[in-house]
Amino acid sequence: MIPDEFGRVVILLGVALAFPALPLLVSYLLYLFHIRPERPDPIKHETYECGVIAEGGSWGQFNARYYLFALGFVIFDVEVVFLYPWAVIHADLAATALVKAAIFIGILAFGLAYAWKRGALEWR
Amino acid sequence: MTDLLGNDLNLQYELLGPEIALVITAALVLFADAFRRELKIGQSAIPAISILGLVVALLLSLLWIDENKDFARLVTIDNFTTFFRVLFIAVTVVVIIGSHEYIERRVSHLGEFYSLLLLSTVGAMLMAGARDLLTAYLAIEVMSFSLYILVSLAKSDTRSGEASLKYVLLGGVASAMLLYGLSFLYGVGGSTQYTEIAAALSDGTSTLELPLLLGLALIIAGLGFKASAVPFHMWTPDAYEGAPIPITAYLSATSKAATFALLLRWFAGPLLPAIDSWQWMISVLAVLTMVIGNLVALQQSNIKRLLAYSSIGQVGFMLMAIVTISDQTGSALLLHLSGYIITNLAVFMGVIAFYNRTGREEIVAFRGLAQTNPYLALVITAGLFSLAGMPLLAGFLTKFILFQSVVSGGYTWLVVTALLASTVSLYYYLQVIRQMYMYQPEGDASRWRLSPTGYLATGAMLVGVVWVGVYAAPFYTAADRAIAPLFT
Repeated sequence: MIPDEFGRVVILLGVALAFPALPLLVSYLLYLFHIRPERPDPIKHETYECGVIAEGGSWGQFNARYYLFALGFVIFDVEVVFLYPWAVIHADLAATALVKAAIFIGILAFGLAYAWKRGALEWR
Repeated sequence: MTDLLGNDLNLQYELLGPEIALVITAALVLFADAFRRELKIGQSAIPAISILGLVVALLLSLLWIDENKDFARLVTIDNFTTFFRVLFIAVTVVVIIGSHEYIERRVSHLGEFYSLLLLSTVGAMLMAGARDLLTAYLAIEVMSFSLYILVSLAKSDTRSGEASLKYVLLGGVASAMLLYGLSFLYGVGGSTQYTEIAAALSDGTSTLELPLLLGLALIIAGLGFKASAVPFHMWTPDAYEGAPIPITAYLSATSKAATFALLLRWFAGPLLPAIDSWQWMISVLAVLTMVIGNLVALQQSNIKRLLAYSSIGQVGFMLMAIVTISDQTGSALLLHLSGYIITNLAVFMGVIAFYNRTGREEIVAFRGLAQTNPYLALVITAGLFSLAGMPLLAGFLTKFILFQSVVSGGYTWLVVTALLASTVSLYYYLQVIRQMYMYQPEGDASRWRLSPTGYLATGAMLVGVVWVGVYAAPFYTAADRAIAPLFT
């Protein structure tokens, strides 16, 4: 029987759930039958974050300025994402496309000017 | 111009004139505030620019009376949209006038306050006008994101940040549920356009009963949160208590009305063919909301929390109109919504003026107000009596028409419950009135006066409450004409 459209979604859901669960299960079974060795080590149990040694607890506080800088970065990020496809085809578009892109850049520039004036770009 | 599917798109930008005007005003306000020193302008210029922009937007929206057009198949401009545009603009104007004194004293981010207020109005207006699920969702978020920040702007009060955090977390969960529900609806209907979903659901060939039911449940839960219907109301009292009072007033008016605009558009449009699947869900919500909202209000000792629970109770009454949806109940709902907003703003404008003078918001703090400021006591009393549904005031007439239309829709038992809940509500409204008239003032018993803007805002709302109560014909006609495009 071929499942209908939502049946396929259920199958996908099952696969998605099984994917992370399966290695854990296999690892546990191997341990049960004494195939894999069990040698706990404090370094092995540490949180893995790109190989950098984790410092402090996960509830540590960060300076809110990092957040402001990240937000400021998003202005340029979004600008590139939208202007790149526009730049590729803008030769084929009417002149109004140029005006619309200018409005878009204007809005982003406004956001940057506002953030600058409010001191979001200074590290205090 | 055509879209990817080959549909013709109508790109008349003037259809979105009011929204564009408000966005530009919001940017101007933000700019003017950031460069206030360089431009050499005073603090009062910021609200003045905002009101000017709102008036322009109001005039632009009046251009489209009795039109029925759509912008790029995303936004409908019909009488329904125009009705809500005018309503939301009016609410924002009143809130700006009434909060002038409060904001200058207690909110340090003037530009942000007014520009976010304008942006959330834009979101609310688009919620009423959307004709596509994704546009509607984006409009909800434009309104909600602005409100999350606005709630946190009373920086001197620690409750404000807490309220904002609770609001944003629960709001995020609700949005996720709503989006998930919409994805089910898209799966069943095959489109994000309201008209096409309605067509797909009404031809009856769909075998996807369970996904539709799941989708409806998720959508109702998500919107139930935005409208603060029980059991999704938990954020309401905390957000209302922590927010700056003008924002509490705004939350209880615009955010609620926008959600009902969306509910009307959805449940009278794309979801109407599935009425058998959702009618019972909404009626359960309506009963829970009016009973629990009104009962819990009995125990409140803070005026903002009391008004929060009272507004929850009112939502229960309004949900009855969605249960028995038709052009008759729809227009009754629009009328009740406008009456409720005017009444609620009257009470809130009074409470703001009181708070400016005393800095207190417990109900016992209102003791003896009838002696120290009889005018303010009168405004608050008129508002509370109208909320309870006293004759000659807005609340009686609009509630009467609403209840009557629900009865003729065949749901008498709902109305009986509503009447009982309404009776309960009279008790807690009278508690506040008792404090004002039956007790001697504590401490400073000297007479005091409101600021000019305070008189303007409370006076206008007092006139509104009486006007709707005595001569509601213009409002009734407007509501009738606004609901018509939904049922043609």
